[in-house]
Amino acid sequence: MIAFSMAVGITLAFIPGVTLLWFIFFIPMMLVRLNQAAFLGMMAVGKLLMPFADPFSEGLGFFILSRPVLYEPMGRFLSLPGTSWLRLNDSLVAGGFFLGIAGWPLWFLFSLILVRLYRRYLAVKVKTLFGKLGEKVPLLKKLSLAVSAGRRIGGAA
Amino acid sequence: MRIHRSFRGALKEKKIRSIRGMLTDSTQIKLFDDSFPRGEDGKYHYSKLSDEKNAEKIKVILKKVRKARSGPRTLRLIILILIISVPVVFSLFFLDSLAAGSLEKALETLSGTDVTVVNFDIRPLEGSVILDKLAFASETDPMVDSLVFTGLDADFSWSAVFFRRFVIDELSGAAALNASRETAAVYPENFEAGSRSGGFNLSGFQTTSADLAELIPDETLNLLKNLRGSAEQKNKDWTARVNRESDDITTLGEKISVYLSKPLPEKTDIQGWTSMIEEGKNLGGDVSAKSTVVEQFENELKTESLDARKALEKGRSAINNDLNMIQNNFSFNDEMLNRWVETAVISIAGPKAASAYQKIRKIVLRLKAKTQDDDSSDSGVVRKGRMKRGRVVYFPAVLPPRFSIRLLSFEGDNISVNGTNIGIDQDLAGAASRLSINIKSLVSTELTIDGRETAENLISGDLSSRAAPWSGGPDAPGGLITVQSMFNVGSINPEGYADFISQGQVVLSDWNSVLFFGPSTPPLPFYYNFSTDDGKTDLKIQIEPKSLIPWKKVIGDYLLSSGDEQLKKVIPAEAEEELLALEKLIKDWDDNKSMLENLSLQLDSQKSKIDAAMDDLTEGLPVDIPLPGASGVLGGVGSLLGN
Repeated sequence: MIAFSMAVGITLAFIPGVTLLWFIFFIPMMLVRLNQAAFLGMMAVGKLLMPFADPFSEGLGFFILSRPVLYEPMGRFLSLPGTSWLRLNDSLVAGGFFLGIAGWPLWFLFSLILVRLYRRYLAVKVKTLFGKLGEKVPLLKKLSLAVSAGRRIGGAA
Repeated sequence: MRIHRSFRGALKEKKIRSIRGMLTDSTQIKLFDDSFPRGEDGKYHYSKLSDEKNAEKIKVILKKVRKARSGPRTLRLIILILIISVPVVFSLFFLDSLAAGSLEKALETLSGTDVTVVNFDIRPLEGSVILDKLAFASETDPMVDSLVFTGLDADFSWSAVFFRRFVIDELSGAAALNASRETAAVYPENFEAGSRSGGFNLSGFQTTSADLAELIPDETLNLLKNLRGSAEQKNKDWTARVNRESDDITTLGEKISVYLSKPLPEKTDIQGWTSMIEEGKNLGGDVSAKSTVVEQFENELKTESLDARKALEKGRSAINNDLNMIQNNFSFNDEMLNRWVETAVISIAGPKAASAYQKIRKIVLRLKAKTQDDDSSDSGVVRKGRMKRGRVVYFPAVLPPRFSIRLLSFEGDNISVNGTNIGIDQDLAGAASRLSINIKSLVSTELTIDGRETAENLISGDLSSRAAPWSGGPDAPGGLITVQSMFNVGSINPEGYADFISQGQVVLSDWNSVLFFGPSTPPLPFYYNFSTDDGKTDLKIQIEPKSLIPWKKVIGDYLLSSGDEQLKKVIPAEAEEELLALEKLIKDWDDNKSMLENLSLQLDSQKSKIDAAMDDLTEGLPVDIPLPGASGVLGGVGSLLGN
């Protein structure tokens, strides 16, 4: 679940914010069962790194949108009321959307590896650290609980 | 120690199964089954275990079950609804005042004056925006609004909003000019009160008599120089000769003095008497000769003085002839006057035309930026932070314009503004933007903006003003300006410069009183042709020759009526200098005349002395002395002696 949440966070990081498309994905994700910490955290980290990825995603979006096969269908699609708000004719939005959705399995695998590496090398240290901090600062205890919140009952990830 | 309230009540079979499915440890499942025995009603009820340790365990398990439950989370849903609804509710209650403040600030920045927005009401559900009053304060009088809109009513199109477009179907209201205010305007901080007065202020336009000085032709100046040179040379020669003669006369006087001081000879000394008389006779002859020379000089003086006077008169006459020709409207070189008027007109129209062009160019560039904003192909520049947008790819979608006012109508006593399809994206609207502004008694204009590829011009229109005041400055001409012109912008090149052409007629009338301008100055109509191409501007002024005829008359009348002082301003400094030199020469001739008179007096005195001496000689003369042949003064002596 943590890896799933992280992958969704990466997907939303690719889609430029303050677009209808972003809200369409973000709102449901807030309503379904997800590891919100992993989701929001990964999205925030991803947003910080996006300035480096934007030129590539924009180029990819322009490449996709420039395909002649899309010309007529996209014209008909964008003629529908409301679709303009999706800004899918913008190469940055389209590229980010494509990278986020089409690359989701990749982001999931990537997140899975990250989670396993974390659990193998960092989990105990982090838990210990937050535990110590939590004893001194009660608020940090909440963070400690949040870190391990996604663990299924019985211990499975 | 209590379990969560959602487990305190009776649980159905389905929920119990769901919870059990979430538990993977058999110990935990057994503990759960022990804690929730099935009741007589077929439902499961919580039964607290006797063992405190197990009771604590089941509490922890239930807490984890609760956290791991599926389905919507009520609290999260509430937070989400709050996040979405708070801005919406806030907008519903505060949108009007926020929008009014923003509109007021934006318009103040644009107009540079105080803007009043009263009762701005946005009604999203009705698709309308209502504004009771929008007023722009006068820049000169804080108690007057120069432009007021009242009862503004805008109906916007919801269907366009679905396409992320903003289209106002109809915007109407009433307009008025120069309406009085109830309270004084509060101008923005950077506003300079009274910085702009009414009309056009064109500084740097000066007209002086120097412009007319070149009207005196070179021939006149050359004539004056020759006359002066000739007269001065004659005067110089004559003076030199007179000085020489004066020296001779002085020497003669000395000789006479020496002669008179000599003692008379003995009566028996006939030789002595004879030589003395002879010497006196010669001196008398010399005096007579010099008298004759002086008489000749006097004649020459009269002649030369007359010549100098004639030269002066001739010079003056030449100048006056030129001036008379100017005054009689004949000496004005048409080309010269055209050039002079053209210079004046360019200095009037040039800065204004350039300024107008710059303003139009800015508007065009802004429109172009707006039009190409989403269509630009090079917006993918990497900047600091995340990219805002990428390249917009064109698809054959049927979309409304991004911004448009389909119908615009403001009517008032002094002003009317009408327009159709005001906005950008003329290609999407399928028609050009047309705006008509008619400010009664001042200006009316028709403007067409057409950004479609098939359009001939991007901007075209005409402008006609009705006698607006203009001024060239405190001591420069001014009056009223009337303009009839058309203009168009063909296209804009990649550097941002537009092919701009404007041509029309301008009439300057009702001149103020500067130099020869005045109420009687006739109107000056001229045609202009202003164009720009690749940033190079070109302004041509064309004046109808007929329209200059009354101007020549006015300038001639001015010169006639302005008197000597003004006329002298028209005479070049060189000509004036030549005339003064000639006048001085005449004075010199008068001075020379007195010198000649002195010489004559000197000679008369010498003559008297000689005559007296001869009389004395005659009285003491022995009778038998033969006298030399004499003439002149001594002739009488000889006759007395019987010669």
